[in-house]
Amino acid sequence: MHLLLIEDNDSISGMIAQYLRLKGHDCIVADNGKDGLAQILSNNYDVALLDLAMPEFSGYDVIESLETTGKLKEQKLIVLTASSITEGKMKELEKRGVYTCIKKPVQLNDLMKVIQSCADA
Amino acid sequence: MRIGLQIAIAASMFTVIMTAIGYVLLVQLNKADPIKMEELTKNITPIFSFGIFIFIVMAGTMTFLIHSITNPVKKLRDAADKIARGDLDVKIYPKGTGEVRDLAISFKTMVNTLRKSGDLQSTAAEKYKNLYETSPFLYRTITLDGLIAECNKSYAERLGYTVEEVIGTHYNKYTAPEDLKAMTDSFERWKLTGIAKDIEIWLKTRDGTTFPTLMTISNFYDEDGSVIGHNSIIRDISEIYEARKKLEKDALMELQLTEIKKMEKLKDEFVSMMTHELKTPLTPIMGHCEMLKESGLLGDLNQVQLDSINTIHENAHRLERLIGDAMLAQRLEIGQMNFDKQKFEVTKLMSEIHNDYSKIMKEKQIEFVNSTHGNLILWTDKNRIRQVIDNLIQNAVDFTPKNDGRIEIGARNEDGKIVFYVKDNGMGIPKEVQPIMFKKFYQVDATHRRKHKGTGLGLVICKGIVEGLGGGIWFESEPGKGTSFYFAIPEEVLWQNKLT
Repeated sequence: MHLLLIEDNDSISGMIAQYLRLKGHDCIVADNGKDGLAQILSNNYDVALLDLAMPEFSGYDVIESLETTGKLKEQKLIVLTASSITEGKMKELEKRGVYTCIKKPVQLNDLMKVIQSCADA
Repeated sequence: MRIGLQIAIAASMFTVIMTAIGYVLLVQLNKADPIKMEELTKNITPIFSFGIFIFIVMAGTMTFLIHSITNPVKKLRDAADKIARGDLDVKIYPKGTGEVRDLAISFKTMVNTLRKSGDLQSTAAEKYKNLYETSPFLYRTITLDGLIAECNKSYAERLGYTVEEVIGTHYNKYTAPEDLKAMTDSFERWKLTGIAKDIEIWLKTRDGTTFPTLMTISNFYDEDGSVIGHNSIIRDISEIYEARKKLEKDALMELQLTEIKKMEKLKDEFVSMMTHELKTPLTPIMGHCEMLKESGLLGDLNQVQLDSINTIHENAHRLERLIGDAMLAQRLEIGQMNFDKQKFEVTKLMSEIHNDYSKIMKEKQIEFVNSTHGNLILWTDKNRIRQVIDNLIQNAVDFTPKNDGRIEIGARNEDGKIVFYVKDNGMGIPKEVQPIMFKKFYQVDATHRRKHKGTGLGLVICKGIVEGLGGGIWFESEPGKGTSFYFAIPEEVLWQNKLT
């Protein structure tokens, strides 16, 4: 699969990208929201993983931009959230077009399963 | 010659009397026609006799007149003397006639008026005396040399003395040591200016205790108008002082409370930030553990290496749970918890829970019973209710002995509430620690904490959730016999939410 990971924390993005690559997938990392948005707009990724809490241009900003360009419906998106997010907020994001929300810290094999089902959806 | 003299005396007396009564008897003697002495005597005698008669009448009248005028006047003079001596108890009977009677009447009126004003004066004095004696204010009369000439009972008693003991002593005997200077200064100032008003002075009682007062004075003057002393009107303001102190204390406490709230908010923010920051590094730690453990992914590990990774992974999980609980407890405490309410069947939830735990209970040889009856429906946060029950079951399992342990779960409808319960026959909770069971990080004893592996926040979270959902949580426990935890969620919440 052709995957995009938008995550500002190097330790997390490095670990997840390594895992996904070891599992035989192609994974591009964007370490901020703006780069991530640009990647989505100029490429076709099977699934994009998006961290919400990022400085300057957050995951919410990315989602909003995708909504205005109409790209949110085309791009399969999984949100990685900090645990402070409420259930309500998660449901709201899913309503707007996000495939699902996963709370960090994620279990890698669970993450893999979700990515697979998202790609298949 | 003798007769001539007699005639002359009689004639002159006659003249006097006749003059007095307004008559003049003129005797004309003609030198050219000389009258014989006998003839003259013979002619004058009747006139002379009449004169004497008139004289007697006149004398009687005079005596009567003198008696009736001077007597009342004399009486009036005696009365005036008595009045002058200050004795108003005189009796005046207006007698006589004319001006004298009028004078007596006026005099009597005057005496009555004097008496009335005297009565008024003595009434006023009495009133003043009464006020002085019975006033709740403390009165003391001080002379220029600072000695107390008089004081009322209130003053003496408040200070722990009798009036007799106080009289003649110096005013500073009753001044609190810390106010001696202020009192002396104000006394000296009064001597110069005659003014002292609303001075706050602490007085000292016989046993040494002190109390705050407010003093105002009224001056006494001598005949020349010079100040010779004053009467201090002293108000015991202990109560006002206490009230003021309480107000000040309250204000201070309010200020401290605001500070505490500010600190609490800072603490809350710090805890939120810290827990979030603590959780972030756990993602790569746990992720790498997972990758290392998955055979073949990062190369094969020997058993020792694998055990080591397992320990790291296990503790990372524990840390994650601890941080998660701390965050949850924090959010519940500051009321930032959002509940996701839905209608659900309590009976079904209890069956699910019973099924989920059956395997573990069998392994631990604990008898596990679900005693829910009837069809119970509730509108609340199902996941959080499940979390509370999970927590209580976990506790019960950890504190229940293996082999003959028994845990009972269930729910029932009770007075418009759904009451959930988790009962065990475990070690129970010691009486002395029962009141602090819902406090943070509390576990009965350290050995059990290690065995239990809990975060110490389980019950805090349970309480937070239940109360957040409008209910209450409690327990019954007997050491050695077991513990029963209950929590009730009001059904009215269900109806209210159904309508909206």
